Amino acid sequence: MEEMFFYPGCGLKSGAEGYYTSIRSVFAKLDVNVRELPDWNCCGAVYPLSTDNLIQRGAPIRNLVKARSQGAEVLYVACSMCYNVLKRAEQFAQTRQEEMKRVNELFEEYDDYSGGVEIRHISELLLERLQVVDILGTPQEKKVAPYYGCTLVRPAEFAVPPRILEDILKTVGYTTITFRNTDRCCGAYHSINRPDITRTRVTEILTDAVNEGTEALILSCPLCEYNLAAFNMVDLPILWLTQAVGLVLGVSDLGLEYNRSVIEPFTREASHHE
Amino acid sequence: MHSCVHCGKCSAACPFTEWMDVLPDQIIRNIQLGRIEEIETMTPWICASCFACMATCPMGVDISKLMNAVKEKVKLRKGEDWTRIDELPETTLREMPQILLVSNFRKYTR
Repeated sequence: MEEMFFYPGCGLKSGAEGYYTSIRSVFAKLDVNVRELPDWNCCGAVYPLSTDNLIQRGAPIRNLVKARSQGAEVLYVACSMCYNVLKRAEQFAQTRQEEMKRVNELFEEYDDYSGGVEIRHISELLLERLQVVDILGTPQEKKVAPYYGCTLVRPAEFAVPPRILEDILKTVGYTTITFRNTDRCCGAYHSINRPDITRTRVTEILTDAVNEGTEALILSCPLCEYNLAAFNMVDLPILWLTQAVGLVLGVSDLGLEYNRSVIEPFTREASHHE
Repeated sequence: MHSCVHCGKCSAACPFTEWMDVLPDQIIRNIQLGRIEEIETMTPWICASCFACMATCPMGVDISKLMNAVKEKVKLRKGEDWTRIDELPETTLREMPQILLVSNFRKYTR
């Protein structure tokens, strides 16, 4: 059995438990054991854009230091925001030697870190495994649309491969829809100070998806999921990527009970039947 | 910042301009002219760092980074917070997920 070093992040432990549950069971079905990085910490959720406040670099880079100390060459991330932060932090560690001298002072008990842990999104391994493992989903007409949001695809330098979510969903038998708002921001952290902005953005995204014939929205960002579910006026089923894959592969433990949106009858109809 | 040609593509791509009093390309112009602190705009606080502007900019300007710098200069580094954590209702703190709280506090508090 292959093993993947896995960074869950805060989201998968609080609110997105259904994502974590389905990651474990879907990857088990694909012969991959999920090994959680011990003693991980919050990555900071947003990549620090200021270059002169180095303390903000500590949180993401500490996780890279921990991963290296465990012998990890690749660290897999599921949350879109964590993925973006850790991937950019790894590039920072590799390229900013001067600043890293200061950052490394935070981790005196470890050897200096200057990069070396590759950050990958779980969708990359998921597609690779689906292509080699002899498992086919039930071909079906269910139309699903991936919602990429922002941090999985921007900045372009750190993006997952183009259309990777469509490729995964097609591989397991879905019909996919790419809608205009697929990578337009949901309102992100505005939900605290300006929920009106989030509500407007979410309504536009969901209405667009529904108008294109989408029967379920598929995503990988816990912040998007929270916002979309909170203002889901059109009752569009919202599922984690691995839940959508698990349903058609006949995986039973998908953590569907955690979902905040109404997902029946979609999940029942999409489920794999022997 | 100085490579900006004021084509306005950033403002066209931004999903939040309907809530902005000054458009993203106008923010850049004001920074260039050194009067960003005089115009007292809401715009940097409406920016959600979604990077749609950066993705479309033909000159490779990192506009999200500029918006971030403005927030820090006009308020955060003067010790003023945009999100007043102590004024948030307890239900907000209890019910909202960490990913939302942490990202908001990172952007809107010093």
